[in-house]
Parts: sequence; structure tokens; C-alpha cells
Amino acid sequence: MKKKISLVFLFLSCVSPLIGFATDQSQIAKVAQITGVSSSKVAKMAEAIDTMAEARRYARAKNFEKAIQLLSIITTANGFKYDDERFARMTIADVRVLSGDYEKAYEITLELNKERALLDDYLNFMKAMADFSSNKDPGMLLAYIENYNSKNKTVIPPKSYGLNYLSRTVRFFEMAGEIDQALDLVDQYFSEKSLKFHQREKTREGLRLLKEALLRDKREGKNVYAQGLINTTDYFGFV
Amino acid sequence: MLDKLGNRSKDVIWFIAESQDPNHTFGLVNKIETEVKSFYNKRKEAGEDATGRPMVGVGYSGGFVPLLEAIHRMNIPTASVVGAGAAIADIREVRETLEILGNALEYVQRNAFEPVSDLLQKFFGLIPVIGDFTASMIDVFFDKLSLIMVPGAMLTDAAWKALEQTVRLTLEATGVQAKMRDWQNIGPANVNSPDATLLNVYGDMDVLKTLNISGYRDRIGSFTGDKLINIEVVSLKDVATGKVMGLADHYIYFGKTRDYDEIEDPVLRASQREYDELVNDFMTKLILASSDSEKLQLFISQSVSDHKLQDMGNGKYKLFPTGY
Repeated sequence: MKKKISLVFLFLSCVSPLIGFATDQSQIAKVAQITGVSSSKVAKMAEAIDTMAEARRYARAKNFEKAIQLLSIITTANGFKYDDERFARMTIADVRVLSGDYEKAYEITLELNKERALLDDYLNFMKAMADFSSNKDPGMLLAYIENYNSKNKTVIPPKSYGLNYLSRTVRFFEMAGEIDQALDLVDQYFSEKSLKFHQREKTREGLRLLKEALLRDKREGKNVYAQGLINTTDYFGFV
Repeated sequence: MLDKLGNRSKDVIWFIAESQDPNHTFGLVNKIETEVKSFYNKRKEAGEDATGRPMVGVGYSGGFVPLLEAIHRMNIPTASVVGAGAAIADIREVRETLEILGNALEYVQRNAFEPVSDLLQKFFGLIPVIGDFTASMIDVFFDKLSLIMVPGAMLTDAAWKALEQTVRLTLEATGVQAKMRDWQNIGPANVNSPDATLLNVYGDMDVLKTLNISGYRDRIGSFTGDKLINIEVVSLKDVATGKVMGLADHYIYFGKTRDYDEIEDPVLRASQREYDELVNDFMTKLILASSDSEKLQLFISQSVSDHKLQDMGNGKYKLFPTGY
């Protein structure tokens, strides 16, 4: 069951003081009032955000077709803005990753990139998985990590401890069978600096479970448990 | 006369200082509390105890701190708080100086470029003397301003950066900065909701940011680490000329806060309107997504992959509304 959220807004300026508190029924109207965006537009934005969240829940429960069915409704033809459709299609690509259909995921990403440039790192992430899927060469995955690290020194450990970076890199290390390297990375997230940043108990629990999953990989000589955790929980984002 | 040229900034700063006056703050906080209680009562009449509902709070400009104080005082369960151009510093002691500097900055932003250094110099004398360096530093500030204000010139990124740097030096050297107490270390922002997130959104050319009243913070009360997200909205510049085509000032966050008739150049007016709409859409989605930490995390991550948000590390992002 969805958690009910209340919305309060304090708008103070020399132009027009306004204060309000939303009820369930008028929440869309309240956001419209706050932001100056029309109610109909806010309603569509909210529908897109909620539908994508619901689709992610289905995908994490491995009901990939239901997830894609929901996401496919978010189109400009159905009255959504292009940016919302675009995020829905990115989510479909991510669902394809979770289902193991890496080539389809990359195909969707390429289409999106043709329409408007995506971040190179995201595109390369999808490409590395598609390439690995066809030639099983783990070198592709490790090359992606090396390339990413060399270009993004300020947003990776020990400078910064993003969860997206963690889940994507651990995914690749595990796919490539490099469990020790994955464990080294996870251990960096237990450093004093990282834990000073990651204050949420949920995130810390996710880190502990990720480490356990990798240790289990090592014990059983497998390379599946970390991806299993990332794919079925919301500790680290979606993909 | 300067008031006529750029008095909105002065009004905003005046309003912020007024909102920080204890009596005034008390009134604002009470007003919010009354609204919240009224909401709870309405829900109670409908058979629901809504006191446990997580809340999303949105505070603009001087409304941010009273909002936090109301949340703190009423111990309202909070999902997130979104601050837009939020005043985070107590400016009561230095209001007059900030009003004058703010007015001058906004005057430059509004592209009313004429040689007005004489006019500005008259206002020089209105700035309260706070330290030995006051005269020379304020002099440097107005010299820089008059250099930028060449007739027919347009606002450029380089000119603004030079001015911003001078303002910061002026604030430090005159002792104004030291008299601005940052709210980040005091009570009201200690919101008792362990999983709440504070989103601090500010424009890179918001006069409040240039005056260090708002802008990046690594802590705001109990919000720090992964519980605090800073998003700097980057002004849109023409790559070839550096000319500012979309100003990320104090009026970008929500619709109906900018008077477009003030922008004389029709091309700039259209460009600013388009830019504002993109920021406005982003803010709307951010508010909607911030009702749930998973939705928020995904919205931010997808915005990064879509080349709109740039990850600067440690919870800081830059928003390029048209992409980068």
C-alpha cells in the first residue's frame, strides 16, 4: 500500500504570500499552485513518476513483462511529455538489463541517444554489457571500469562514494569473475569517510548485504549473488 | 534612483531580514503551525489520524527557515524538504549593505547597461563602515561594476564571475561576511526524521548566492552527508560569445515569479521564458519525486544519464536545464 504523503508549502516573497497544506484529493492542485505549472501537466508528471516506480517494483519481483507493459504507456501519444517518455524508455532499457537481455537494452539506449545525446558513460555501460553478452569477453567489462575511473576521478572513491557507481562496478566485476576486486571496492565504502557520508541505516545494511553476497560468491565459486541483490532490492538504485 | 533600476533584490533581502526578526519569525511559524493543525483536524473529521504522515516541505527564499522551524517545533514526520533559493544565513546585522550590493548586482543582471558609476558612487556613502578596508573594497566593487557596464554591452559569464569574486572579497574584507550567521549550525534545521532528505536548489546567478545568503552548504542543521543534496542551476550561456541567454537568478524556481516585461530584448525574453519553463518542470518533478527516497534517487540518476544533471560528487549536482 502506498504511503500517504502530505505537502506543505511556504512561499514568501515580496510579490505574493501564499501558504497551504494539501489533502489527498488536492495534492496535484497544491503542487501546481506551488510551482505555477498547470494541474493537468503536474498530473501527467506525477502519473509518469508513480508508474515508473511501480514498474521498478514489478521488475525487482522479476515480472519483467508487466513492468515493460506499464512503462510502454508513458508515451507522447498518451499525453505525456517527451522527457517523461524518454525516462520511461530508459527504465525499459534498465528492466532489460535486469532480465539479462543486454543487447535489447543497448538497442533502446542507442535509439534514445540518436534522438538526444545521453551521457557517454551510460551508453558505454550498456554497450559493454551487450558486447559481453555476444562474445563473453570479460575484458570489455574491465575496460569500461578502467575508462570510467580514469575520466571520473572526482566522483569515485576515495573522493566520493556514489551508490550508482558502486552497483554498476560491482555488477561488472562480478560478471567478469573478479570477486576480489569487487570486495576491495565494497570495503572502501566501509571507510570512515564513506560512512560519514552514508548515514542512512538502509544504505549501510545494503553495503553489508552486498559484501555478504560477494563472500558467498567466493565460497561457492559463483558470480551471481551480488547481481541478485542489486536486481531485486532498492538499496543501490535500479541498475 | 537605484531603487527604480533594480529594487526587487532589495525587497527580497528586506523581506528575508524581516522574516528573521524573532517576532516576525514567530508569526510566520505560527501561521504554518495553524495551517498544519487545520489540515490534521480536517483529516480527523474524515476519520484519519494524519499526524503520522510524512510531509514534503517546500521553502522559497526567506520562507525556508520558518518552514524548518515549524517542522522542528511540531515534530512533523518529514519525507523531504526542498529549499529553492533558500536564505540560509541570518542577515539582520548587515541588511543595509547587502541591499545595496544586491541592488547593484541585480541592476547588472537586468541588462540596463549605461554608464552609471556616478550614480552608484552616491550610494557608496550609504554603506555602513564596518572595517578599515571598507572604503577601498567597496571602491574596487564599484570600479568593477562600472567597467562591466559599458553602453550596449550584454551580460556575460566572464563579467559576472569577475563581479562575483569582487563581491565575495568585499564581504570578507568589510567584515560583512563575519556578521552573517549561517543557519547551518543552529537549531531550526534539526528535523527529527532520520530518513528525511534536504534538497538545496539555487541558481548560479541568484543574487542571494553571490551574497552568500544562499548557495552550496555541506551541512544544514541535521542534514549532511547523503541526507543533503545540493543542486546548482547553471545559467544558459551562448557558447561562442559567453552571453547569458537564460539567467539562473532568484526568479527561476517557480512560475509567476518573473515579470517578463522587464526584459526589453525580445530574443532574450523568449530565451529566458523557455529556460524558466525547463527549470520549473525540473522543480515540479523534483518535488513530486521527493515524496519517496527511491523515486528521488532514480529521478536524479536518470537526469544524470540524460545529460541534464552533472554529478560533482558527494551529493552535489549541477543542473543544465537544456542539457550540457
